[in-house]
Amino acid sequence: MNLIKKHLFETVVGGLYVALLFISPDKTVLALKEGVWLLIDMLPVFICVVLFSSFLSVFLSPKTVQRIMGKETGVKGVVAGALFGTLIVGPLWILFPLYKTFLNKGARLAVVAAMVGAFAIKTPWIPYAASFLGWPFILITVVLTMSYAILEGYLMEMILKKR
Amino acid sequence: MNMWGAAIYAIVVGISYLYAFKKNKKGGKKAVKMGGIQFLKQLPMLISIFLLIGLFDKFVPKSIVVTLVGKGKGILSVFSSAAFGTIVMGPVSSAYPMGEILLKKGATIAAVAIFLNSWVMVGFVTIPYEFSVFGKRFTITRNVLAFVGAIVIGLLTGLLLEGRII
Repeated sequence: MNLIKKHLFETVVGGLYVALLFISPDKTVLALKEGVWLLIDMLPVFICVVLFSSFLSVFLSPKTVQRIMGKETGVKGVVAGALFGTLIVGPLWILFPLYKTFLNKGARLAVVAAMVGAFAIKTPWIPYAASFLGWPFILITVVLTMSYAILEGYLMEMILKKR
Repeated sequence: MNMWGAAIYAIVVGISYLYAFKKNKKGGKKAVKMGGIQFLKQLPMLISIFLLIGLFDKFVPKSIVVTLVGKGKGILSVFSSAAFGTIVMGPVSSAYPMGEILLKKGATIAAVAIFLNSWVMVGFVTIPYEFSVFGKRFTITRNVLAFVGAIVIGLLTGLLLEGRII
């Protein structure tokens, strides 16, 4: 019972598959294939992120993190965090372990939150996106998202620090 | 795209561990072990997320999403765009072509921008995972702010490019 509680999400997804297998077996098999394929596609990136996070947890001194992303960095640190966020490729959540490591080492919440926010800008993808939606659309989105990411960093810090 | 994304990550990890083992063998081993444990711990969640994305992809066809995004008048179209962007899961590579289709079908720029923004900024399916890493308060605050941001940015994009928000 405890195991199910701990893995509620996994249990629900598993249950969904079992149920759908009875209702619509063909589609369910296709969905399973799609999921496995995406997993295989993303697994190397995830392994790298986890290994890099654990490397940083052992070798990166909290002092360095605090100097680059700590409280004293001010606006510069938050903007730098947001800029760093735009460089990363892959789905946002794949990098959660890395962000968590930064926080554990004493990074300022606003810096990490801005990084997460700016992740919506995927620099390597910009030319690709522009080919579909046009440059004006993409450039405006990039500028607005960047500004919002910085604001989001400060808002997150304000809201979460309250308690 | 993922191929060279993965290649860049692999190079970064390779260099880090070269440095690690040269500087402190024990520390390097410790880091590998830690990474391995973390990986195994998070693997069930990871598998579940991708399997769920697979279900979304097959049971909620893109054609249905395209007909529903931006539907409704006024403020309702804003929310339907944001809601679908939040629920839809999948790689961004498929988001941009969908945006183009929506524009061609006559959706407003604001609606398309809101849809795409919420797609990349808010993570509905991954909320349980985010809970497990960051805790509930962080996750809820971040997703609410991202949802609001997706709408605000989208409305501003529409205003700047089309001179109207809805």
